[in-house]
Amino acid sequence: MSGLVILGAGPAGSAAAAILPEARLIATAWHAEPGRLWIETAAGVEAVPFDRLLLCADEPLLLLALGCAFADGRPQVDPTGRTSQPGIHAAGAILGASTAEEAARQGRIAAQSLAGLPPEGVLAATPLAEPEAPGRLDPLSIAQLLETPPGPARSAGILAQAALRGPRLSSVAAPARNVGFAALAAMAPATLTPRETQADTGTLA
Amino acid sequence: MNVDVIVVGGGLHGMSAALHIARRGHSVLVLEKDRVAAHASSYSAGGVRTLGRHPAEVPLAVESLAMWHRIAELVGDDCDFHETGHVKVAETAAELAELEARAAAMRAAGWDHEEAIDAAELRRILPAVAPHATGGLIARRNGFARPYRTTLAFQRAAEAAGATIREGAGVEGLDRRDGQWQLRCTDGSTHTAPMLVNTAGAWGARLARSVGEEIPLGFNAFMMIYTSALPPFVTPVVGLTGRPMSFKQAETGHVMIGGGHKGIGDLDTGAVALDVERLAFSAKTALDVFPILKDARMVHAWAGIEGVLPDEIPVVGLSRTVPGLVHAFGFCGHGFELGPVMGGIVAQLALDGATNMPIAPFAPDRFGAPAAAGPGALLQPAG
Ligand SMILES: Cc1cc2nc3c(=O)[nH]c(=O)nc-3n(C[C@H](O)[C@H](O)[C@H](O)COP(=O)(O)OP(=O)(O)OC[C@H]3O[C@@H](n4cnc5c(N)ncnc54)[C@H](O)[C@@H]3O)c2cc1C
Repeated sequence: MSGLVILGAGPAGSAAAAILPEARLIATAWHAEPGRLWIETAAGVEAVPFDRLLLCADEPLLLLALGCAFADGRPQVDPTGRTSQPGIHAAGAILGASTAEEAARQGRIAAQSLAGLPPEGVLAATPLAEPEAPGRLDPLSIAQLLETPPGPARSAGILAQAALRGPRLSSVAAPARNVGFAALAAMAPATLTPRETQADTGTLA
Repeated sequence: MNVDVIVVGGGLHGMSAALHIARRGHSVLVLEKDRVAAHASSYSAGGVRTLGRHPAEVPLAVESLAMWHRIAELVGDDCDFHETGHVKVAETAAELAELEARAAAMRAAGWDHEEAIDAAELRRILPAVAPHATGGLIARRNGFARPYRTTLAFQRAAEAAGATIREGAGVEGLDRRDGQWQLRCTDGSTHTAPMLVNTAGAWGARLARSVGEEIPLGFNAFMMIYTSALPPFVTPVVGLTGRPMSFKQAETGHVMIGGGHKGIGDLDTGAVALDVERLAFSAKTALDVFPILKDARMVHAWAGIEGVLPDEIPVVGLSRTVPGLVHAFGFCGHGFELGPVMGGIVAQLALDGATNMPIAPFAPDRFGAPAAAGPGALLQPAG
């Protein structure tokens, strides 16, 4: 089943869910790709499909994986929370809302916009201080950074690495949260047809 | 700029070529469309492996391995190279027989770096391996290094020898007139040289195509995994005989897993997309062979774009279409190990018009001719 998904069960997500009762509310995901969030529960690893997504939890790496544009350490949004990617909205902690009230207000505005209702106000992201540019890290150092507890410092470090590469290597930020190796392995198909080599007939620029 | 040699592509092979050319006293300019080591050369698994190579690559890989063992003399940095050995694990009796036959064939051809081992010796070397393993094939002098650090070390050494490196300069047009190449770049710069080197990796065929040379290069976005840090349990780099997997543990305890499983790449943007189901398949294979991973977490997954050719060996040689052009690209997921030696070969081709190394099997015009008979490589997934 695909449809509308709200990610983040804090004040913004809860306020949005009250306006969008048909939405599936999930607390967090460990990875995102266009049209799918990946979650890990006690039952294992599962894909949650979506047509439209409202991301409220402070998980910027998920939006990075979805190709959303960032500025000043935050996803770029319009006054209703629309990101640069069609169908993907953000509100609340992810935009730096500093109180539960402000997060809930933002959640309501984004939800109203998604529901086709006139939004009661506007929202905006709170810019973050530009993180120090540490130079490019290699995959092992990125792994060590990703292994640190989720939070603003980890996100800022990874966003800075992604910025050094431009949009070309979103996998530098993957996965947004770590996932159980055995749980991941358990969802593997019994057999796998190898993916064909990709062909190229391109020319210089 | 007007120089003796222009190198297109600032990955490991471009840097190694520039280093060797500059050390021979010639002016050399590297043009890189993005940044140095923007692609395969920093997302590589860094395996320094002669084990299981295609016979055509063996002489080059053996020579390169010797250079890896004194890499600091070449580039002033040890590149974090460690001799750990590489082991290919057999999971059935038939696979072990295949490995024993390979070792015998290699010995008959005069190579002694691959040695078949029985189950007891395998378990001594890999105490954590699953009980079903039946034996293996080992190359004891193999190891691994850190690819990004390595490529930057080659860059520094090349610059110290006089090479110029220009980042953000994608070559978008080239002409040859009066014995000179004239190159136009995306940053508006123009450059001339009598000799051009094509180390453009997965983009190498685009450059060849622009001078009328069609080479059937495809590309893959090979995916890799790092697990959370675990206590040390494996020293060598491990591969399998019957299914694609590569496996190594860094000094930090993180386990790197590759297996040739592919995401999706885009050569126009350089973007890659992961494929979670295929990552899961890599995880399953690794868990089958190393059950100790059952409590690990996957902390990082990434993909790197690499050029591949139908016979899974690179294109290395002088262009058959135009004078003044050397190709060295399409390393098919195993070009990191060849980095040190390849720069010297490219320098010989560019400056002397020939090399003393056996590169005939890598000729740019080999495609379309009947494939050479004889044994190929063992399964050698990227990583
Ligand atoms: C995931 C992965 C794991 C691997 N593991 C191993 C391993 O364990 N052992 C091993 O031996 N090998 C391994 N390899 C292979 C090895 O990393 C590569 O063969 C090697 O790095 C290729 O180097 P390169 O310089 O040819 O290509 P690249 O590093 O891709 O460099 C080519 C450069 O050319 C530039 N370029 C392209 N077109 C233009 C243009 N028009 N103008 C200017 N610049 C241009 C690109 O931007 C790029 O930076 C692996 C590869 C991958 C992707």
